Amino acid sequence: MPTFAVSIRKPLALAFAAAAAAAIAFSVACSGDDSDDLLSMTYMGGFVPQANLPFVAVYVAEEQGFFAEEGLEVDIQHAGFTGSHKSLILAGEIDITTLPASEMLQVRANSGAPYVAVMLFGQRGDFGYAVLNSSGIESPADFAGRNVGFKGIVQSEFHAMLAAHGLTTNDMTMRDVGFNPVVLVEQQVDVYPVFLSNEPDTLTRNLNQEITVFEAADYGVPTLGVVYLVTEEFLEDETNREKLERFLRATIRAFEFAVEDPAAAIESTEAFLAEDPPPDLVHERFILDTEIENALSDLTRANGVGWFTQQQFRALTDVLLEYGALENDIDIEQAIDRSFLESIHR
Amino acid sequence: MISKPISDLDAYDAAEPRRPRLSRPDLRPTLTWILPPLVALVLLAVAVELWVRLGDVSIWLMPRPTSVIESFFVDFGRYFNEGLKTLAVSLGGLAIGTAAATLLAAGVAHSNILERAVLPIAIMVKVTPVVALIPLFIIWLGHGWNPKIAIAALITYFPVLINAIAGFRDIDPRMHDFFRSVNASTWEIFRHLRWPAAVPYLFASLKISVTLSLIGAVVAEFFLSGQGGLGAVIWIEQNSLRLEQVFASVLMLTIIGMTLSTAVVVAERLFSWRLDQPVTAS
Repeated sequence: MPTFAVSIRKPLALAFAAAAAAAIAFSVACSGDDSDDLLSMTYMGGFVPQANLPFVAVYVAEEQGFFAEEGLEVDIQHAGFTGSHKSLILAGEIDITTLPASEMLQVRANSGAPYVAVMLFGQRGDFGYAVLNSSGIESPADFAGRNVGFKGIVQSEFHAMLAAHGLTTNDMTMRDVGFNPVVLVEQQVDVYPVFLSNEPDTLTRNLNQEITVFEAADYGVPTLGVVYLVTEEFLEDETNREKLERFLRATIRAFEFAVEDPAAAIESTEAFLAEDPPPDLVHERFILDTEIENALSDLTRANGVGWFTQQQFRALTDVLLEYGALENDIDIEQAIDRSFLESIHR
Repeated sequence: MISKPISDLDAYDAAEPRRPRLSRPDLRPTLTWILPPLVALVLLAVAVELWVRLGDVSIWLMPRPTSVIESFFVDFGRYFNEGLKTLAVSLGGLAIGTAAATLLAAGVAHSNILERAVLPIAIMVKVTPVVALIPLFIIWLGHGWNPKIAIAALITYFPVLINAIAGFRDIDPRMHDFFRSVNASTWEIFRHLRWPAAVPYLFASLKISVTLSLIGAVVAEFFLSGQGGLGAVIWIEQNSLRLEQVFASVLMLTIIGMTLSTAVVVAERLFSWRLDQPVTAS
């Protein structure tokens, strides 16, 4: 019996050992797959958390699990008011960030920063020029002889819009007004430059003014909004390209989610907004609605959201060059990479 | 009539005019004045250069000091001209802030009620972040130089106010009694007793506020960058990530700050020497 017992036990023990070894090998193999598949990256929004579409796309992708479905772990950060995102991405401290297309081109041309735009949100620019309805100004042609505000720098698109009406800044009094729309309410200036996504709401809802906003894009001036950008060095690495494609796929999904259901997108955004003071959700919704409207065009309807062309960037560069915002021309092909969008929207 | 300030009653002899305690100041810059900060700056620059080169620090985070110095000399005219604008704002603010604070301190030194009324307001203004006030100053004072000068004045007045109050009150009570005994008027007491007592305090506060006024000017220029100044250059170049130009502007600011600080020290010596001249009483 003992012999029998031994003979029975031995194959059983061997079977158990083999099964255990197989289970361990399988679990190791599976866990190995997981760790290889899960990629992490750092995103930094170029301002404070609020419902700007390039930020909302990231919030929604995180909250709705789109990043997780792509096997992506995203560390979401914000630069606040510092502008540090522009340097941190060049130093490799973060992977992807946001910047207005005109500013991206300017920094690339003037300081040689190897930025590469990979997705475009605003199909038109973020700036507008607000006037009180009581001012009698009905078009930019009426700016002549008026007090016109600017925020530190007169935008190239403003020069181009004036040129479209046969004017230059010499035909008006230019005043550096800083960042307070009350100067328009107090009529210290007749024209006040606004960030389209928030200041018109402040002027109409908070300051109770009836205003008209002129946009350079309406007068044939090529303007573009915010892009997602990475660096040339980042794109040289295959793993980086893989995680960037996953990131863009998830954020494009989130972008479409926000277009379909902006209220739900704002709910996802709330988790990222500062709690003190409590967020003004009506204002946040205004920001999102404005940016969604500016992010959709015939081009995106034909090709998919986030789409852009080389011609768009070329035209914007030409305007920036003409009015001295760029010191050197740049090779647009190096400044943009559409391969990810082409792959995702194919 | 008392024609000159008296600071020490025990040493005072009306019949024998006092001899100046200080000899005429030697205003020539000496090696001991210039060399230490220069050596320290050079050592700092060398340390940063080594750190950036050997530590492989990204040029987008920290430029090499050699590049900064190159930019400084290549574009010297620009930094100098913009520096003059910042200097004008700074000096305007310093003059207004110092004058206002000194006048207020003179009143406060004579009145405890005024002190109780004014000091909480002064402290309230002091603790208000200046940056938060700039957009309002633009609305109140217009879009030119005025708001910038006002910011520089606002940032400088407090150290002067507190020091001047202390100085105007730091008088020998026996001297005060003496002035009263000779029927000196309030103005005479102020001019010959309180004012000389306050001068060292004023200069001590000026050494602080002269650099604060530069900071105020630069901060205001960030907001009103269309009119130039080193603050505007820093803001514009920072936006274009041209850190060499940012740091070259800071270098020019440093030179202006050191020049102003030195000017205050020289003025203090001159003034102290003048106050220490013989006193005659009649």
